[in-house]
Amino acid sequence: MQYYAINTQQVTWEITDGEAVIIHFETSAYYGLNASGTYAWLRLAEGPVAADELAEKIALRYGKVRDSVAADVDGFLQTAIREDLVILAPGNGAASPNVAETSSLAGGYEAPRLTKFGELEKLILSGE
Amino acid sequence: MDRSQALRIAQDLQIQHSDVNRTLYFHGESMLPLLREADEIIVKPVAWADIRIGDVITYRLDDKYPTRRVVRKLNGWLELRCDNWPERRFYADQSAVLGRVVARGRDGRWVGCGEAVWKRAALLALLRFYARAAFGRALRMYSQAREKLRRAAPRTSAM
Repeated sequence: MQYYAINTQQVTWEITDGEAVIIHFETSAYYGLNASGTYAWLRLAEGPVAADELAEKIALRYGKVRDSVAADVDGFLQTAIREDLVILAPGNGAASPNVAETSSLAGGYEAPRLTKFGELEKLILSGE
Repeated sequence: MDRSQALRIAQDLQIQHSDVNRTLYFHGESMLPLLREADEIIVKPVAWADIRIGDVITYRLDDKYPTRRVVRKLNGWLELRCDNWPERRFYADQSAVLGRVVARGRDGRWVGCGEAVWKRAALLALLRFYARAAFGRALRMYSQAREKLRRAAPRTSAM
């Protein structure tokens, strides 16, 4: 089974109003995640996770069945890998426990989406 | 989230994660002699409680990132000056502060904020600021005293 993890050597992120902005240090690219993408990202931040495990968590969160979100999650992970934001990682040998969601967002599901906004230029600071 | 919002957050992150491999550039003459045009600088996040008078800090102001010296720490605000323009004062809200400048690179050589040259620059800048402020205060007191004396003096009546 493949496990996925955030490429913490190369990326950092911040979450504002429930949506993450990610920057990649080497490429200087910056990205945005929608709400479900941010939820997926936070699960990845907890440690290596398998695609079906992640799909399960997202399905639980949004009141869906796993199979209905699995393709979306797979697509999201493939895009994130292509952008070097996520890497394949050794698994921990056991599926992480499914934390029961206290607030299911049934009806609010939107496929996890990663948007590349562009590349950051060398930033200029000034006293003026 | 739109592109401009994302850019602003990404730039904040860029500043807070700067290091020798991911430097930032300084522009202008406002912080001479410590910082000059095209110097590379590194900024590190700093807790509000750890900000000291004399620190050079970077904060967010609209889409710009001013970098100036702290001369006074107020309740949730900083008063800042530029070393080379001590007559102009600036203010930064606590929430806008992104970090403290901790190193400067010039011609391949780095100087850290703990080094003597950096501390000397801070001391000189603060001395200039305080001397200027004291002179201004003395001048105001002198003017007020003179005005009081003028009013207290008996007027000569016009014949």
